[in-house]
Amino acid sequence: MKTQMINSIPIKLLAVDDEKEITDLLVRHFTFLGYDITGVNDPLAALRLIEEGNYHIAIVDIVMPGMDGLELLKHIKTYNGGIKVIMITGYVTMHNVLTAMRYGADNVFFKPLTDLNKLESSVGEAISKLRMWQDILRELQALGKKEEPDG
Amino acid sequence: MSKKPIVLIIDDDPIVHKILGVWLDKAGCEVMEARRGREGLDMAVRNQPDLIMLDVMMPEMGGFEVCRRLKAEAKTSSIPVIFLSARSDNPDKIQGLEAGAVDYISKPFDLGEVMARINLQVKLKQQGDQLREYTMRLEAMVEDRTRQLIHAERLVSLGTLSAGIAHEINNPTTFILGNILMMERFWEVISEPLASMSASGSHPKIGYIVKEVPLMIQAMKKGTRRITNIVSGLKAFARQEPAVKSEVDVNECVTEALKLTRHRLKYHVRVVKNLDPLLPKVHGSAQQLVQVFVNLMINAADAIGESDGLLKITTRPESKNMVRIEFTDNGPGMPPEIKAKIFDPFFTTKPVGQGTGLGLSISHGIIHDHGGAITVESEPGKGVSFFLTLPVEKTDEDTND
Repeated sequence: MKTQMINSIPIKLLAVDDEKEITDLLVRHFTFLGYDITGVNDPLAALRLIEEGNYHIAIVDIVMPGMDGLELLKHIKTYNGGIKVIMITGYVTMHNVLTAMRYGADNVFFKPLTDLNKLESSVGEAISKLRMWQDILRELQALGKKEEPDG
Repeated sequence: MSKKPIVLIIDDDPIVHKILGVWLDKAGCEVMEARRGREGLDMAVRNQPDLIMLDVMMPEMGGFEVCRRLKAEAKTSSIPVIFLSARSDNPDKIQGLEAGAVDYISKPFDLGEVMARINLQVKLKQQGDQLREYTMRLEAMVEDRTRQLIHAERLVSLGTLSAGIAHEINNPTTFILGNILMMERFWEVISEPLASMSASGSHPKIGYIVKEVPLMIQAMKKGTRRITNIVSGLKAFARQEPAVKSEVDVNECVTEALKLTRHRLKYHVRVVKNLDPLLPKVHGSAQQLVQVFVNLMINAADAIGESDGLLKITTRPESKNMVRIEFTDNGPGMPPEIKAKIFDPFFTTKPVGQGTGLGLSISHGIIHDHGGAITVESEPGKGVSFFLTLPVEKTDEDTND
């Protein structure tokens, strides 16, 4: 299977849900599409993985024991604002959606995920944004190399 | 009091009847006469007099016995009894009062005194009757209101329960449906090589499997979609978040709902709109009101069924503070036992899989949340009418009053 990349770096996805069947489903789905994806059922373990593992995109459930998905979202964005976070929830409440938005979630999907294509295209959008930033950074690096002799 | 008070005289002496009869008639009473105790008891039950004048000394059955029987009989126990007696001694009076009489008059009569006593008793009786009637009406009101409260309470706890169930069902549905969708994609990859395998004839059952698996996947998808629909119905029913309310044009909501239901109505339901262009705006959520109207329209279309039918939609002011919306169809209508249950959650007359039984209970909840009311009238063969009332949006002028 072809691996999805950004500028020759393989994209790493993290799926966080306290239900193993759901992370299994997400892992199966995105593996099929050629992503490098890890599933984790404990939000605290997810936070450790984020800090160690260079993940680009996280798909995070909201209602979980131990640490709320919204709390995890806040930690991820504080740790690295560049990581894209897509929230999934069965608890469709105004509070959940507004808090997710305030903490900088890139998208929110309601369970059941009746259309996996939407989740896919949301991941696709996240990748294009990441690519855009990568391009800007590369441009800046090239510029820096040119400027270096003068400085 | 507009009704003439009825006075029954039970006395074996025709002279008493004559004298009392004339007096009472002049005083505006309707007089009835009985000469014997038994006859008097029968007339009391039949005619429900407001007062009974009862002679103590009578042949066959004495006055005390008649009085005891009157008081023992439920239909006559509340009628006041005044004893008439030639004797004025105390033991007689006491015996009479003990038998349940309210007063004791000795012969010969003093006209003024007798009439004053009669008037007093008639008035007391009538006031008592009125009090009883008020009490009964009050009891009926309390009973009615209690039933409403119990119903509302039941709906609230059911709402909390539904919200919980909806969320719990969402997770398993996610991975059931998700895996089915994945399987569908996986199948796309392997079905072609499998088909060519079956064509080679080496595995005779593979051809059958290649044909059946897509149908199995479709059936599973259909089933989970149905679960999804029920759950979203439950969530709407649970309505955790009260809707944001503002000034809403009910006529616009009706028009909007008609647009949304056009595909269901256009073939066989003729819609007659009678919308008051001057209808005041109401205070509410347009989205929720449209949801209610759509629900009522779809129900009407379903009730009308295959035959051609008519749906009349009327809006008009009900009072200074309320507007009224009516939906009347000419479908088959419904018997009282169904009418009584249509707002209950999960009650449906639609075939399995077509109705969740939540539409009307959600509508009921929405209208009540708006401070309005929804009622239904129907008889078999005479169609169904839904009557909705909604509070008018208060303008600044009103609040300054």
